Amino acid sequence: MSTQHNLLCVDDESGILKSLIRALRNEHFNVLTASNSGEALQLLSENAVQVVLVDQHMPDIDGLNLIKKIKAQYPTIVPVILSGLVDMEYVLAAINCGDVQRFLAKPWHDEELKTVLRQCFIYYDLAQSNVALNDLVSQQKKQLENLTTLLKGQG
Amino acid sequence: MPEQDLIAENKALMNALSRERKARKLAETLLEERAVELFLANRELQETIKTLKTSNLQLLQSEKMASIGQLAAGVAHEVNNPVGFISSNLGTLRDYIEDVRQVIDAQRFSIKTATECRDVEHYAAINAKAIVNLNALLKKIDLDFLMGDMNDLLDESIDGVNRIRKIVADLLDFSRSHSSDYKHADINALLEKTLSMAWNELKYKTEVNRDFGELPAVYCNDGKMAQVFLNLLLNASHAIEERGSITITTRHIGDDISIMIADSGVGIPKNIISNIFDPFFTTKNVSEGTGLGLHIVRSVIEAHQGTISVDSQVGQGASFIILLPVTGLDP
Repeated sequence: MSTQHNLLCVDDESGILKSLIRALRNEHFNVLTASNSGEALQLLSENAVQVVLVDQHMPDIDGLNLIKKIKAQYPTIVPVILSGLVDMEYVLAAINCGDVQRFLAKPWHDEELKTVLRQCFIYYDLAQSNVALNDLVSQQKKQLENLTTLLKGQG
Repeated sequence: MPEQDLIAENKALMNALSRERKARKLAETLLEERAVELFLANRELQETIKTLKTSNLQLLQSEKMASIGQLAAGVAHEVNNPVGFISSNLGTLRDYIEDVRQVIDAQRFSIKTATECRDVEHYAAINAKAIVNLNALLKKIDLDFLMGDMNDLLDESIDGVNRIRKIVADLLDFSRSHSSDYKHADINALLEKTLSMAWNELKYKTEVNRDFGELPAVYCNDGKMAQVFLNLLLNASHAIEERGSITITTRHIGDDISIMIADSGVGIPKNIISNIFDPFFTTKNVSEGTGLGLHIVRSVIEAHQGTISVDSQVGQGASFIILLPVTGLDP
């Protein structure tokens, strides 16, 4: 994939956002940050973002609701939750209703965080190339069908 | 014939007497049996009362634990945020220091060469190469950014540590006030302390408005009062589904002070409003509430010779109004 990889981190806590920028400074993707849902949606409309890392608990919106909102507009985005309090019910809802790929707990381990995010980008790329390949296959199938009819007509 | 009559009468009397004796004996035996039964029943009742007292204490304790448990969830969330970025920052700082160490090593190498090398030409060549290497290194690690960001990183982390320190101090302060002492307390300050405790739970969905009037000191058990305020505030927060407000109003009216805690939540349906102070009455799930919160609230207020009432309509929120006599329990 030649497109630039962008990660969007959403957290109302500026300390968290700054530490994420630092921890991910040497990764192959850009890190964008937003401190509320409005900023997040604004950034998403201006940038091609593949993975979002969303805080579970924010004053203006619940992380899961924000993810649902984002997925409604950008269905291919891969969502990850970063949660200050891991509650079983919430995790289940996130995975089953929010299509959340990964669930990380605060405090996190930088290495684990990096691994998870790298995998999310790989997942995104695979899903995208799968779509592209399927398109190619159906395109070529059509061409083949056209050719077959052409040949039959000549035979 | 009178003699015969007398004999017959005597016989009849004797019979009656013996019947009565028999009856009395029977009655006495019955009475004794009954007394034994009563004694046993009494002993059983005393045992039951003892058990009830113990389980009542246990229930009160579990209610206290339940409200502390709710706080703990908020506190955990609040502490995990700073711990999260502090620990990540420390990891980054170690990488930064590793980069800085490389710069220092390169400079040490230059100094060593300058002091040891006797041949000027040879030295110039080595030095030129060292400077090229050093410049490349500085560019690679972006030392200016690194030194600047190191200061920010430390400032932010120290802020985080101070926040944790404050959370722990608040928590200790709150648990210390749970003594059973009666003292002259400033109710507004006590409300403020309780709010700061419950803040982690409240801040995400509620706006808290304070309308505190000037209050005289009230002789009360401040720990128990704090528990009352905490229960009412947590209930108010639970009643709010998405976002809403909690308004706390205090006033000095004649011989009483009034404390009103009003929320903009879902309100209490008419058919259950008379039950809400009953023990074990709850609208929450078994895991969330013991149904004792408001019962305890009322018991504490009544022990202070005060009253508590509620005013609510579905969809209009609920207001709990406490009246406490200023001099009610003065020693």
